[in-house]
Amino acid sequence: MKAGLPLALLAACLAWSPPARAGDDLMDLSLEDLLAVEVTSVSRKPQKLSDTAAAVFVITREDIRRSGATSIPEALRMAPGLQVARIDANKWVVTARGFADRFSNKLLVLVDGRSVYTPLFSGVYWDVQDTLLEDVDRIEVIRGPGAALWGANAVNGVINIITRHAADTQGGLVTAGGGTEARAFGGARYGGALGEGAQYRLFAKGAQTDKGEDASGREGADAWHALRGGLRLDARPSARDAVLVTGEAYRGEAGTRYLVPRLPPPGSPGAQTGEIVEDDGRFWGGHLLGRWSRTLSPASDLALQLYYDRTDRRELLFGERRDTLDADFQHRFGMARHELVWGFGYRLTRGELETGEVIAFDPSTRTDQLWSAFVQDDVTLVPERLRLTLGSKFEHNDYTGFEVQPNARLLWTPLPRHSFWAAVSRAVRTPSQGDAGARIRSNVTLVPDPRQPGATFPVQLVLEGSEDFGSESLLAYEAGYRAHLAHELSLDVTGFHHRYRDLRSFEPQEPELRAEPVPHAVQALRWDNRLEGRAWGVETAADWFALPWWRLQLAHTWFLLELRARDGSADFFSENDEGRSPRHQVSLRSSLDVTSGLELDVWLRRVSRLPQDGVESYTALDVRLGWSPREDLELSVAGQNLLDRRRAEFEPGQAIRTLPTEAERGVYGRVTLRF
Amino acid sequence: MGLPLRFSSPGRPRRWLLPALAWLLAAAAAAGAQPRQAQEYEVKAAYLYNFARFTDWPPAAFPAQDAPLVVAVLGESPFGSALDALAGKTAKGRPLQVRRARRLDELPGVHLLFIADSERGRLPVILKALAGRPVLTVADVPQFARQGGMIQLVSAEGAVRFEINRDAALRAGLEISSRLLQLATLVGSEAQP
Repeated sequence: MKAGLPLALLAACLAWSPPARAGDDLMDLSLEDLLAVEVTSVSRKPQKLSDTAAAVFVITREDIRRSGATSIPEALRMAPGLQVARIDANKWVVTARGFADRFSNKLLVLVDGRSVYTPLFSGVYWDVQDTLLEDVDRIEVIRGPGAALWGANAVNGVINIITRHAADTQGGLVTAGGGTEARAFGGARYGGALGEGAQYRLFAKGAQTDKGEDASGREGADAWHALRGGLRLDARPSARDAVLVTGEAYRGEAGTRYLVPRLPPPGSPGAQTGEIVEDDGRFWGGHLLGRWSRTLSPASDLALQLYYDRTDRRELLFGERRDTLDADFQHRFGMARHELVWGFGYRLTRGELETGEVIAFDPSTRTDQLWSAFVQDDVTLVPERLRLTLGSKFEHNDYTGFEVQPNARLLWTPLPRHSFWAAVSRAVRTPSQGDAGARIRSNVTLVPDPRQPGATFPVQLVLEGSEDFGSESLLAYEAGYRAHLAHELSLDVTGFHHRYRDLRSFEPQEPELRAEPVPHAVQALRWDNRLEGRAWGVETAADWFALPWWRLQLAHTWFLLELRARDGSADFFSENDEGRSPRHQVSLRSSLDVTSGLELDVWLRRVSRLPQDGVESYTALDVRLGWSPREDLELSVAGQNLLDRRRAEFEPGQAIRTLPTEAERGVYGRVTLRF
Repeated sequence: MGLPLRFSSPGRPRRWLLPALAWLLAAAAAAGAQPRQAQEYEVKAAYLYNFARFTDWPPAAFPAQDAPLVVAVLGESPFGSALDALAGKTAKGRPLQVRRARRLDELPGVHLLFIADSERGRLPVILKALAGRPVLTVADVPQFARQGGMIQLVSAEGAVRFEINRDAALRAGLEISSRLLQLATLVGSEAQP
């Protein structure tokens, strides 16, 4: 990338920006003139997310508080279009629009602008992603491709976790609680001011989660505990400038029970081909992020962000130490009917990997660079009625070179409270370090020995990454309707059709015979791009303030995925992913303010069966009772999964044999004090 | 704007020049023809200033002759820095002071209260706590004025209008000027909270 070009562009854009207009002279307008001022919508504003031509759902802090969720994945169950399933007490499947897996790889997750998916397998370690939930301002869930703005990996969705401004968390807060499943948790926060226009907060959180039980009632090895602390600083050095600094350090342990493949000793026909091993995985790390933004005029601003992130993991499967450095610049400005946003970014990531019992990497250390630029234009075709958004991301990565990810979106508002939108977008998932160089020792299977009737012969399956693995791509067609039917009732419906090409397949290679340590065959299945797919879905959300003190929120998802190996592919199991997402998911939440200070929340969910792995459909009921005897004190009791003693939500795949545990009925109490 | 006209040789105008000029003219025309635009909460901040100017508080609401008129936002402020322009202004000869409040017990001394959307669920509690006190309550929560709030800001068709519940203001001892009343939609309370 030539450094001169962006700088010249920047200078040009600054020169074009209209002169700054202080809010001051609005104050001088007469009332009659104020009534005539046209209000522009600004897409950055949270309340204006409803005006975007995309499938957006926002989980607010109030939603999280009243849901009784104790972790981010639990809170994500509120969003339509997301599939959230618990594998064990510390592992979740979180995915949008299919491809469910512990390492679901088509979703981008950001915390305050920092990407938290790992370039190792393009998925998210959900056991690490946590914070004081009281500090979360909102979680924006965007289903469908967000690649034109956010880049590769934002294939099926983007989850944007945004924490509160330090000015909004002044004073102290202590929260503590415990129960049968969420064993013990506690957090503290203190926020203060550093002179005029600068505020900070410090926080610490600790949580311990109980082991689960498997289907036979045997206790799992999946206890989970984590401790973290951090800070946020918000400053306004001048009326036009804002500075944000966040930092965090954490450590924890998350246990797992694995079935580790083993070759049986010679001459033992019925022998075990795997050994159950319990692992206490450890993780630790931290980050530091700085962002500077400047308002050039009401219609124009720019922002520069830098962060460094270190993450370390040691578990049975493998070990990883990763350093990431990321820089991002963006500029927004308006010209007549256009609102343009453009920016560029650079990411440097270095992963040092340790071979574990199951996964090895070649090469074990890799440093990758990602260069990116994006431009988006929001054109008002008919004021207040029709808006067109055109944009594209351009990226250069070390695996596949250049990638272009364009989109076009149209928003039509025929009546003030009704809007329709449609979008066509292309997105890609670029290869991860794992796709290129992992070697996963999967199952050992026993096949009949052709030389000795009645005897068996062990075959070790190995999943083998490939440098030739290319990007997976998606062409998505989406349309939606949004209505505020009355002040109290809003409705949001999205339908989509996705067409995937070059999806990952595993192609069997020539088997190799080995004599050591016992005679066996190695069957490699190599990463390739020979799978195609199509998906359809309808996602609905309704929000009804039935009475000033009673709110009902409904979410429904209908989803269908079809996968097909292309001609010439010998893949024999990737098509099974079709059956790992439920056809229907329903969530109904009721929030009732019984009397002043007394809240009763009921959350009912229904998830249909996962045909592939025989996971049955289930209905879950969570109930929370909250009481605020004083403004600064809140007491609550929550019961989770009240309908069953325990139930399975997901069966992890065969490639890595994680032994799941089931979600159990649980009750916990919590006290929160503000001062 | 200094277009590099003299670099083009006479008789052979550069091919990009004409389209560029046309584009510039079109852009200038479009910019000139635009109605006045502003961000939603800048406009709402300007309304707050006007509400302070056109409302009469009972003298007992102020501790001193020259005491400031206190404007507060309860809950999560949607204004960003838009309220900064309020501080430094005066209304009724009193300087305006802006505060953020999180809890009801921080409200004594406040004259004009904007209740943020984050407090929607607690509205009945808040209005009950303020009943009879000389506090002008403003919000952009739907049905606010009908629930007993005094002024509700309404965004519709790209502009911001307002509804006034005059009875609610009178009960609190506040007199809203006819300047405001004649521009507002007047509503009454449907039910007392």
